[in-house]
Amino acid sequence: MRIGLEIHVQLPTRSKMFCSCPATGAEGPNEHICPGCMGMPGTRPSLNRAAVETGIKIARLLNCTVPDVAWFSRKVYYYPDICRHYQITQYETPIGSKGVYYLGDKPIRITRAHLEEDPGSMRISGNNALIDYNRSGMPLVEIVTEPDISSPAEAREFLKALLRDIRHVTDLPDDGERSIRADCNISVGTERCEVKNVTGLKNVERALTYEAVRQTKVIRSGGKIVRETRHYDEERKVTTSARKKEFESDYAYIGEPHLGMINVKKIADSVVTKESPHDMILRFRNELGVDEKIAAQIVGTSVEMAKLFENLVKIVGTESSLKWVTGPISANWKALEKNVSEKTGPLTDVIAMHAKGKINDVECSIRIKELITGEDRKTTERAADDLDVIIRKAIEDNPSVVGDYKKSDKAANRIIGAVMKSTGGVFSSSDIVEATKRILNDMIK
Amino acid sequence: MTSYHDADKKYNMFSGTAAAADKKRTFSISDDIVARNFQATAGSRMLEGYFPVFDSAVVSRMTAENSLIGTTNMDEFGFGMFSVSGTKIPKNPFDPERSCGGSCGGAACAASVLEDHVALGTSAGGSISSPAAFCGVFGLTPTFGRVSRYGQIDTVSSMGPVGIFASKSELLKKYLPVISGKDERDPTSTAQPELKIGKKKLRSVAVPKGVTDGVSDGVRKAFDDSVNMLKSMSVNVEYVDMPILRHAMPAHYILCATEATTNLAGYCGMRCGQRDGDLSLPFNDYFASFRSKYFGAETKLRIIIGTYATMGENRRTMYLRSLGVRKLAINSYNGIFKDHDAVLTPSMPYAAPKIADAVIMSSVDSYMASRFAAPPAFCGLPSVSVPCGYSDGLPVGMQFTACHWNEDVLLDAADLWERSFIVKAPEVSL
Amino acid sequence: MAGIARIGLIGGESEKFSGEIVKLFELLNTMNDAPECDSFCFDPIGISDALRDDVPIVDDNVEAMLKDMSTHDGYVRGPRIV
Repeated sequence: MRIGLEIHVQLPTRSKMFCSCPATGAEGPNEHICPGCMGMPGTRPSLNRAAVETGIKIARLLNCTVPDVAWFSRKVYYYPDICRHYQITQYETPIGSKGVYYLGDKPIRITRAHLEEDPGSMRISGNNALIDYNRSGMPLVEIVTEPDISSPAEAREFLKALLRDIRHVTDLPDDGERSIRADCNISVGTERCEVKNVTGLKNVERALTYEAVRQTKVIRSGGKIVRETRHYDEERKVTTSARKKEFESDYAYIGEPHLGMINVKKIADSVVTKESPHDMILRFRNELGVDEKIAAQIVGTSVEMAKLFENLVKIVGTESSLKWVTGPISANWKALEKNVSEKTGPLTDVIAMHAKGKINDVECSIRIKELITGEDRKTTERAADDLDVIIRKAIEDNPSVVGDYKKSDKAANRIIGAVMKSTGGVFSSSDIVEATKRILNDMIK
Repeated sequence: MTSYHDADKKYNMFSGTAAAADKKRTFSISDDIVARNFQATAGSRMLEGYFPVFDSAVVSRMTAENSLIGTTNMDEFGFGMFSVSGTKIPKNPFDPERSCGGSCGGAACAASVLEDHVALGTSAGGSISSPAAFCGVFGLTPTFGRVSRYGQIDTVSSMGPVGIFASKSELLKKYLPVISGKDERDPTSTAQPELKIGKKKLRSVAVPKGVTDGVSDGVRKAFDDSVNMLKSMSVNVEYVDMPILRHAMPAHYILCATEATTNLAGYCGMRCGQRDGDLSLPFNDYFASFRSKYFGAETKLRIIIGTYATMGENRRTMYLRSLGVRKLAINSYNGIFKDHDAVLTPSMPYAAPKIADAVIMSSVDSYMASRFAAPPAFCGLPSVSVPCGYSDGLPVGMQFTACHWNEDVLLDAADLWERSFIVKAPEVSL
Repeated sequence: MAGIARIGLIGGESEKFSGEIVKLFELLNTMNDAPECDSFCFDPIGISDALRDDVPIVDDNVEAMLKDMSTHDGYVRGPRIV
């Protein structure tokens, strides 16, 4: 099975791409519109620098080649959602081309990533279009992959990782109101179909799964897949045949004369790109010798926590940092996250004391917890002692766990499960996980 | 002072007028430049009902000290050399049965008839030089990018600055600085160097060889006399080869048509202009119903060619090639500007034709009337058309073209010429 | 081409055009022997790096603009889609 995606991601700029209308915060339809993004005669586009800069960041994330000079083109098509009946997009000089994105170790080749404007959004009432042009002129990056994805689940996993990374490098907050849409190309046999305009990760997986099953059935019953554009019906969860596939040459492209040439290289030189979570994971693996899965766990919890980890490594080394970060720090990350900057210093001091042998494991663990949660030491101490006793007892009851744990840390789950059951909610699950792993790690040393 | 309302009744130059002027100097804008409270249709029925919610850059710059009295008639979307394809046909002040030239015929007519009036128009292919010549006035086309085009209804986007028509050259000199300057709302205006005036003198002009082949006898005589007069004014005149001009005309046509096809694509009865369609029609039929009914024949023809020139392989052989020809043409002009201050040609190959004849003229013949006026516009070069003679009582014009950003030498040329040549005003009786 | 451009020809336009187009292509075909140029530019003056800062401004013409359109609950009404 071969799946290729064309992903449209809105860029987190404050104003639209070619006019100054605000990019967010409209309360009703057609509030953030102006003569420019409505294509009124007499207006012309004025390019938002931030859209180009964000495009460069994403192109770098995708390991694409960024051109020295780029320009925009007009792509003509007739539809009620596009005001000028042409979309300003990049044709010959995408902001990124020939890249590759690693999903774990698997390379997904990126054909191109180009900047373009979003059309308005449409509702259907009766048979007619009702259009909200708030979205008209929003900056987008369209990322086109080669058909390197081999299952609908992988497509979803890819999109999830990609979005996480894009959010990170473009500083888009988790709750930032930006949408993602994808055109999904899928072929089970030799001919492909395109499912247009699927919104959200879940729907991409569902649409692709439906389409894979449909194509397989057609081929099994001796039929032929016809190349076509299909539409995904979110309510009925099926794909249906839409208009015939318009091949690229049917679109008329001409250069956009208003915007001239953009010296992308000059802009790129001044754009500082943050390391993507994916690259961070690889760096932890390659430079710090952290197991990739554990590195992924740390970075996946939070890039901020990963930075804390890195700082610790410089002072106490990888092994000790791993012990405390994957242990009590990770277990209490939610509480720490809010004021991590002021607590990093004291935490580092405590762990450094442990590394020098001034305090033991239990003491260090208590102090960390105390620092993070601000709970009374005695409560923490007593609770921790009690919990430790219960866990040690559980391990004594299941002695084979220690041997199994050497082979796979999943074995800890048996103890964790048993303790959770027996203590019935007295201890938080994160405390149980942390303490169990700490004790087991000590035992297998 | 001539009442502009009375003048409009006789010459039909305005598509819309203000009730009264409250400042001493009056100005007008061609119908493709927008201003609040004026309908802007670019000469097309398609845009009837479009009342812009903003002022164009040039209107903002002019209204501080001058009164906007109206919008002037033009060819539909600027397609034409005689102002006969728009919603109203302006009449030539020297003979009301004749054409004012195009596409900004109404503007040239206003500048000719109204005393000390400043008429702003746009030119993507001779739309200033042609009517300036036919109506016997001065017409300045600045460098593309010199004047903000914010508020100018685009037919073509890579050509067509706003320029000035006036009966005296001093008005060009006075008002070019007023309308010029950078404007963030039009990125094409941000590339310009500072406008300097009064520094350059016209010393040497180049005339393309064979330039008067095929022009009318009246134009040939007026042009040859003018060249001799320039020589007598110590201006050096040299005849030069410009073979690329042969390809400039088809390339200009193709670029105009392709850009127009995109610029006019949005006109479909939804957001501005005509809106009397049947929303129960499928969207393609709905759009087509407006476009079939409200675009004129010439506009449709250009859109068809513009669509053709970008499809499939034609994109390379027609569209991209035309862009290449433009580059070569600019290089060719620049080669000449190393040794000369300006290129001199007639503005039009003949004096104003009768409106009745212009209406039935074929599209190609009409287009080829711009063979002197279009190439500079194609290359974004500034030019000025000045009256240079009279043929059977009808004005003849000649056109100086200078290198990018060098409007200064054109203003000097117009000034120099005006001091020696007697410009006749039309006999206007209202 | 007219179909692609969403225009229909009315009232004798198609007869008129068939004659015009023949003449027009005599002109356009002279492009075939035009010299090649290895570079091109979408504008004649070489505009570059005309960029705007990312500062949002709410336009105050929204109502005036929508007044001239057919609307329903704040949405712009369009033709039939399905």
